Amino acid sequence: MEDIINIARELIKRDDIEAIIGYEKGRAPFQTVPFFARTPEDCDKLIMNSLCVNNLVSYINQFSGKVAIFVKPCDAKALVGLLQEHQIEREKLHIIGINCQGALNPKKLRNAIKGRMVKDWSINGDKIKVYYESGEEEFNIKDFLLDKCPACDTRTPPIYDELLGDEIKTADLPELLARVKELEKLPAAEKQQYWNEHFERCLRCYACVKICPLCYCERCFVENASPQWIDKSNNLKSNKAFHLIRAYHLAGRCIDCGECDRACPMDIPLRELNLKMRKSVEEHFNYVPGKDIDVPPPLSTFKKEDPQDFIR
Amino acid sequence: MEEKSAKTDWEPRIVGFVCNWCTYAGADLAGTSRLKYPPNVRLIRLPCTGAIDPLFIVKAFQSGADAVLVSGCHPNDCHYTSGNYHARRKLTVFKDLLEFTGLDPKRFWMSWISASEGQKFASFMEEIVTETKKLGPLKGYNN
Ligand code: SF4
Ligand code: SF4
Ligand code: SF4
Ligand code: FES
Repeated sequence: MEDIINIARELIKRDDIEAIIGYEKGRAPFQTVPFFARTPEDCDKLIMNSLCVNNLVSYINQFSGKVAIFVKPCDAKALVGLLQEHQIEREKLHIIGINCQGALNPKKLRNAIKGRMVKDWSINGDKIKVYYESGEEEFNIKDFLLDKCPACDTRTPPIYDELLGDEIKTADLPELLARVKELEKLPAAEKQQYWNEHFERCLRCYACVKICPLCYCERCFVENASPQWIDKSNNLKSNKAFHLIRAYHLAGRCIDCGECDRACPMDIPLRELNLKMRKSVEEHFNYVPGKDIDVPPPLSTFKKEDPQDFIR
Repeated sequence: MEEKSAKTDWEPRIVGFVCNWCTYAGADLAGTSRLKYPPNVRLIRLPCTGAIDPLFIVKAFQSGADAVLVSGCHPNDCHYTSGNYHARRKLTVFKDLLEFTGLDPKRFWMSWISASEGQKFASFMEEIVTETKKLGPLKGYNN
């Protein structure tokens, strides 16, 4: 990839840019963390590679001035969503788009090293090299991707001011909605059992809400005390209500950055719910989120000729 | 066997979220015209179907409804012009989600019933109650 440090240093020298939102190496093996560079020296810490998993878009509104931000294509789709919904201003962004070959799942990598101590790691092209106390090992990035990546059809950000990295050619992508279609085929009782078992395990820690770039309500419905829609206690009834409404609130808006899925400590398959909503909105209203800033989100508009087969 | 006898006594509870201007008036007409329809239906009157949040539907199921109905003015007739069009979009998607998570499609109904359609209201309620009886009590929401 181009020399991102020099690019960042040039940007931060500009009077109009308050900070650069990017990534630095974290302490744990295979960890990267969000990093805000405010000075040219800060810029030296910036990295950009396949372990830069976080969607940084949620940090934009912490700044009042203009920011430069590194975005993968899926992150850029969240930008599109927020611009559509007037939550951020285009003039206050300098978007550094990254062509993306897929992001690595740190959990999968940690499993692969089988408890050995990692001294360091480095990414080169489509390989990740792991340095142990003694010896080293190389892994193929494509074997350790996040679940959202193999079927991803957007490898160039839909929106950017400058674009880095080589163009990624994809062929024979697996079908994005394969799992959703499989679940749809289950009889109603099995569907309910499948989901109730997952909902029952939910801790209602709301990590999925906190991390979602499109869950920006100042007061989430779960916090409402009057009326209290969801009781504070953790039980199937409330957990299920939470999950139904969370997924519904993201219908036509979720851009499948998969961050909720990644953040969930209980491995609840949130993407399956999100993708069901994506499928529904595409089938009924011919709309796919994260593409076009000028089109209103599908649930904030309507057409007189919308389908209504189920209405009597 | 025990289950069977329990089923015979059991009467389904239906919650209907209806708009003030059309379906509520339609239900009223059904009443004043002395049309017969099952007493299992509790109507909750709202200004417009556009004001129906899917949370209401979840709440109804949690609180013991065995089926839920949303009903309002026909397209083009909404008192607030477009509330029903918005409701149609929202509930199309929400219905898909309810089904995806295991609700039988025959437990969630939506209709357009005008103030003059007392007959339609009465026969539709009849149908919903009959269908819900076939399904038995709703499980998986209120425990
Ligand atoms: S979903 Fe697409 S854009 Fe996002 S990290 Fe994976 S491959 Fe890259
Ligand atoms: S992150 Fe997982 S456990 Fe926490 S509230 Fe969300 S779904 Fe539940
Ligand atoms: S719901 Fe999950 S996948 Fe969708 S935008 Fe939010 S964090 Fe990303
Ligand atoms: S007033 Fe009846 S649907 Fe809007």
